[in-house]
Formats: sequence, C-alpha cells, structure tokens
Amino acid sequence: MSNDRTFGSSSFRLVAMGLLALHKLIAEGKDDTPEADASRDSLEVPLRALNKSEKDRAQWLSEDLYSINQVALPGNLKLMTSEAQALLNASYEARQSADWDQALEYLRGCNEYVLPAQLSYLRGAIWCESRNYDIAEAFFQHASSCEQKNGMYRAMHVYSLEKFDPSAAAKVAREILSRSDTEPPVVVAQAANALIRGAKASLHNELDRVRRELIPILDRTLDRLDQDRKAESRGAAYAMAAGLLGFCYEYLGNEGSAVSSFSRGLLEKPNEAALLVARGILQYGSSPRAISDLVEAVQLGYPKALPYLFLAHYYLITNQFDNCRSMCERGLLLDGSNTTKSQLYEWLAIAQAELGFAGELVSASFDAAIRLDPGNDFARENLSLFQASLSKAHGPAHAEWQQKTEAAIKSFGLAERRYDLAA
Amino acid sequence: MRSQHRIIYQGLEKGRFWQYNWGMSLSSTTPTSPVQAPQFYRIMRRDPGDDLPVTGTTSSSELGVRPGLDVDLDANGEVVLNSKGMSVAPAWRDIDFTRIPKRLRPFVPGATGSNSNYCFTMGRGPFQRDPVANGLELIPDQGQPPIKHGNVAPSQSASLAQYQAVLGSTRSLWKIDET
Repeated sequence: MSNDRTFGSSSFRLVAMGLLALHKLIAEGKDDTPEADASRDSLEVPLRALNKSEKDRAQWLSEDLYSINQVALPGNLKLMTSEAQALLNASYEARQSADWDQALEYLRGCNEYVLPAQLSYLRGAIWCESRNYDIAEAFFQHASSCEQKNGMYRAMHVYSLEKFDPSAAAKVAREILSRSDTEPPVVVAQAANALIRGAKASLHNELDRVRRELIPILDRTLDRLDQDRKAESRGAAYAMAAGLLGFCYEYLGNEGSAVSSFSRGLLEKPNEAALLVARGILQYGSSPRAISDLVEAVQLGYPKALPYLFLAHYYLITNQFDNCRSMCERGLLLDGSNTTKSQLYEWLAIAQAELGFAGELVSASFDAAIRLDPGNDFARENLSLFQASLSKAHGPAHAEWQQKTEAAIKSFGLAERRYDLAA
Repeated sequence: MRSQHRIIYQGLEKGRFWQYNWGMSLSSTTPTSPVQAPQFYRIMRRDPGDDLPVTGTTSSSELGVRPGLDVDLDANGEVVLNSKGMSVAPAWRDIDFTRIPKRLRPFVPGATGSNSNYCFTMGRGPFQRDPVANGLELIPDQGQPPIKHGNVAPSQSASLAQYQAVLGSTRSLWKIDET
C-alpha cells in the first residue's frame, strides 16, 4: 500500500515536475528540441534515485499524462460493463484507503469505459488527495477544459492550482470573480478562497480591500444558492461561501455579521465542523452556544487541536478537571502550534494536580509546557506554585492557579486560526 | 575479418595496440571490434542517409560524449579515467522511459523519447567489463545484478578529440534493433 502522506520521495517530486514539463513540450510539438532534450537530461539523476514502486509510478504517470493531450473522441467510449464498473468501484475503494497506486491502476483497467473528462477528474482527485497538487492540477485542467460547464471540475482546478501556485490561482480567481453572477456558485466560492489565500502576503490594507470586495460577491452567491436548491455541489459551495463571508467580516472587525454568516452556513450544513469551530471561537465567553458548537465540532472529528484548547480551558475554569484532562490529552495528539500545545500541557498539569496524580507526572507536564513554549510564563508560575505546595498537606487551591481569562483565550484562538488560514 | 579482430584484440590485451591506434590519423581509423565484444544499446538520432547513428558532442542522443557532463577533463584536456563515458544499457527496455521513442509506448508505457531517435545496438557478448573496440571498454555500473546501465569509456589516457574519434569510428558497427 502506498499510503504514505507524501506519496513519494523528493526525487519522485523532481521526476513528476520534470514529466509535467516534458509532456507540455510534447503537447506543443516540441519534443524534438534541445529544450526537450534538456528536460530528459534533467530527469536522469532523479530517476535513478527512485525505488521500484516510485519508478513504476512515474512511468505510469507519464502514460496517463498522454491522455490529457489527446483530443477526446466520445465515439470511442465503450459501453460500461459490469467488469469495468467493478474496477471503477475498486478504484474508489482503494482511494478511500489511501492506496493511491492501486486506485490509479484500477482506473487504467477501465479507462476505455469512462468519459475522458471524468477519467481526468478521478485521476486528479487521487493525485490531489496524495498531495501532488501540480499533477492533480494538470488532470483537473483537462477535465474542466473537456466540460467547461462542470463547476466541480473547475472548482477543483482552482483549488489544486492554489495549492502549488497561489499567484497563478489568484489570477484565475480574479477572472472568475469578474463574472461571479454567471459562474457556478461552487466555482465562485473556490475562486474567493484562492483570492484570499493568494493575497495573504499582501499588505494589510490590500488584504482588507480584497475582503471588502469579496463580501458582496459572497453574499450574492449565497442568495443564488438559496434560490437554487439544485445547484451543483450546493452543500459544499454553501459552506465555503458562508465560511469565507464570515471570515471576511471577522477580519474586518464585524463580529456580529461574522457570527450571522457562520450561522447561515450551519443552517444549510449543520455538521460542518469548521463552521462550528469558527462560530464557537468567536462567541467564546459571551454565549453558552460556543461550548455546544465546540463540543459538536470535536464529536464530528475536527482534525486540529484548537477546539480542544477552548474546551480544556472551559472545563478548567469550571473545575471539571477530568474533562479538562481528557480534552488536553486528545488535543495533544492533533495538529497545533507549539503555543497551543504548551497551554494544553500546562492545563493538563493543573488537572492532574487537582485529580491527585503523582507529583512527578504533574511536573513532567509543566516541563513539557515550558519546553514547547519557553515564553509561557503562566506555566512557570503554576509550576512554582505546585512545587511550593508539595511541602504542604494539599496542592494549591483552585483559586491559586494562574489562569487566563476567556477573553484572552478568545484573542489567542482567533490569532491562531488566522495564522492557520494564512499558512 | 574474424582473424583480424582476434589479432587486434590480442594486441590490445598486451597493451601494445593502444599507442599505435591513438597515434594514427583519425581519417584512417577503421572500425574494429573484438570478438564477442559486449552487446549494449543506446538511443540515438539516425542519419537517414545510411541508417547509422549521428555522431556529435552536444546531445545525449548522439554517438559521442558531452564534455563536463558525460566525461570529465583534466587540466591538459585529457579525459579523466573515472568510469564515466558514453551511457549504454544491456537492453533498450532498460533505458530510461523518458528516452525511449514514443512509438514504442505499446511496449514501454509512458515512453517520452523523440520519434526521431532509434534504439541502436552493437556487440554480441555479455554485458560485462570488456574491450569494445579500439581503445574503448564497457564499464558496467557497480551494484547488485542485474546491472542495467554502463558507460563506454576510454581504456587508457586519451584526449577528448581522440576519444570522440574512436567513438565515432564505431559508427558502422551500430544497427537499429527495436525488437
């Protein structure tokens, strides 16, 4: 199984990039030029560094890339058979279990039975999930050029392009947004996302201008989706447009409109964990709904540590130490910044102390907090408090721990999420 | 012809032939190949005039080497004897798929080589370190068998021009084989 998240070594990445360039030259009729020769020469060393499965993967990628340069002839499509359908299903299952080589191989077995656009879309999806966005982009571009009215194909093209060439994606996004009222909503939402991400390196004023520019576009896109219950990929488009609209308001300091936007999205997609987290953070300390939103996001399997941090803090300040410990331990297994994890370790130490855990264990958690973020003064102070308490009959009383306010945690969470969005 | 080859080969083994061969005028160099010289393949451009490979020093698809890339030169312009040389393989299917002509995709999926190039071969013997022709030897890569790549290198000190000339002198020994 090829379920490594990067799906290949750095040499494979070099080969993949070289093959994309070489196939582009071949498509332009330049395969007999010094440029093409140079491209082949540049592939020689990285090709030799590949292992057997990577070499096979590269060779079959090269074969598959021929399909995107051929003119699609619908008449050549064979009628679907049960065997071909079984291969298509097997490809989907292999993709679900991240066995991408196998998923691609099954697709080759039924490629004569699948429309060229659909075949390229499926190939693009596999390469996209294996995080080879440049390869995915090539296939998505072919899919969307074959079926220009297919919004999902075009949205995925913009998405994959943004992942490896944000400035090129921003350029494409601007073109799409210039005709936002006639483009499929899912394409508009993806273009807005690409524009925001493409502008992340810009000056603060430029970013604010982009956000202000996007607010009416996203608002109209949501209105269009409200009016068209059968719009293509409606759920995904709605959640993305509402989320982006909320973020634009939030960044511009309009928290009320931001909450309304997130709520609008959640009315359509109640189980969208990212929207629940966004609304939960924004309302933390000011509405009890924040806690239920964050609890729900965690139950839905939100993959990052941030909602766990908020819930851990909530349980800490409400003296629910067992729940606090559980949130800290779970959050520490997920993606999060060192600052986030340092706080989780600090609160884990406090919860452990309150629950009567061994002093060594508590100290080790405090130490981990300080190691991850040497600037975590609360962890240092609380460690000192704890060490001083060891000579007493009991640990520090609840009120003695140095604790951050809900407002401070909210500010921290918003900054963390913004950093995460910009990364 | 066979006996002539044998004589040359024997002379080569005694190390006497080389000085004579390097010193002769390039135009009078005749293609000679030891009996059972190793067989190997290289993908090269074809001269439509005689179906033989095009000689040259600027492209990896010519009969020749590119100084600085395929071979290193010392301060005097002599070829450094460090196993580098003209790249060859024991079978055309062992060559990088990026160089195999596209028309052979039914046999090698993903082949991206130019259709102006052809799979040429010369020699008949096993792919092992052995003399190839006048002043040339095959040096297979190190590693676990099966070895799938090697270099045709000068077997003793030679200038770049001499090395290229001897490589060029093998031109008539190559034939197209894409089976």
